[in-house]
Amino acid sequence: MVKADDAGLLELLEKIGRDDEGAFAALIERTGPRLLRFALKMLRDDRGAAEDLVQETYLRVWQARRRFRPEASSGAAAESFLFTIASRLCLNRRRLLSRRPSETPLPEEDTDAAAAMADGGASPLDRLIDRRFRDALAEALSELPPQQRAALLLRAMEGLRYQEIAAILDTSPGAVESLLVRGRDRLRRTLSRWLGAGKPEERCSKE
Amino acid sequence: MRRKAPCPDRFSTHLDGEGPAAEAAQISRHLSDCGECRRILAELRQVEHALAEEPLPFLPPGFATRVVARSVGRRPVLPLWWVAVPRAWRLGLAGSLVAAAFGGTLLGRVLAPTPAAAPPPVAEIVVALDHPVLAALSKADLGREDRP
Repeated sequence: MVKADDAGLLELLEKIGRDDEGAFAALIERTGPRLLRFALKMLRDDRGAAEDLVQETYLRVWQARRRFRPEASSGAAAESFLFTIASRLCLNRRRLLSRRPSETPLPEEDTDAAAAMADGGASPLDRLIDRRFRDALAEALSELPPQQRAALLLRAMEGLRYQEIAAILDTSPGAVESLLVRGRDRLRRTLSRWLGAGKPEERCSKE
Repeated sequence: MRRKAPCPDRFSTHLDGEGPAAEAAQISRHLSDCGECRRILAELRQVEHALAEEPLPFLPPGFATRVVARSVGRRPVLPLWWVAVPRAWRLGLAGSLVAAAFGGTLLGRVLAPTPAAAPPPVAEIVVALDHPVLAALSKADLGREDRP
């Protein structure tokens, strides 16, 4: 995906390759919030761990600054470069794999909020409902295997294409497609009470 | 009459616009007839939008400056296995090492044997025995012992 400010990003990386500290600070200011958002979602909203991880990512960018060749790359490649480092650091964290999925159902009051949202959510409780939905989404997201989570976040938040996600996660576009199908399906089923008014799923009749 | 239903697994690819054009057309035709598949696709879209609308967090104040200072200072980057250890464990390990070092020092002091008083050098004994006061005392003691 090529964004409007990609050229600026390439220019920054080119300057960083010449040890320009100002350009490095500018790169952090520009891309830091997006890397932090990704790290937060990958690390179950653990702010301290996410900030550490983003810091670690930029340290590695600085270490590898001469290996990146802006003249042979696109802005998308520059972004992929950053997200590749961040993703690998995230996926290397053992605790991502260690947590057992929770079986705890949502509290009773959330059922009411879910019903209100399914009814159209046109009530003064909209914000509360939205917050509860976001909490439920974050919880459901944290239950996904790390690779599925990473693929979903890179697609939904960063708008990357399958090819780019595959390069970041060091896998094939077909595997990315599979990660997205399974991840989305699991999220949809987990959040069904929020999304589809809890209707039992009908079978689509095929001819 | 409903058209042949595509596999719902293909909806994800359809949503991303990554599938072949023929497949996209087939899905679109099916959706026009099938309410259930429309519902599934709408739910997938809702989840996707909710993720995409996640607000961007703010970096902590001075974050960029700190990272630049740390990076340019050429502090060696920690190996990945160390980064993989959770922060709490790292702190725990550091605390345990400090406690072990402190405890070891303390225990060593408590358990160390007290050094025995060194005997005075032979020359000093000789000099002491030659001392006139000591010699007189010794004679007096000997005289007392000799008494019955």
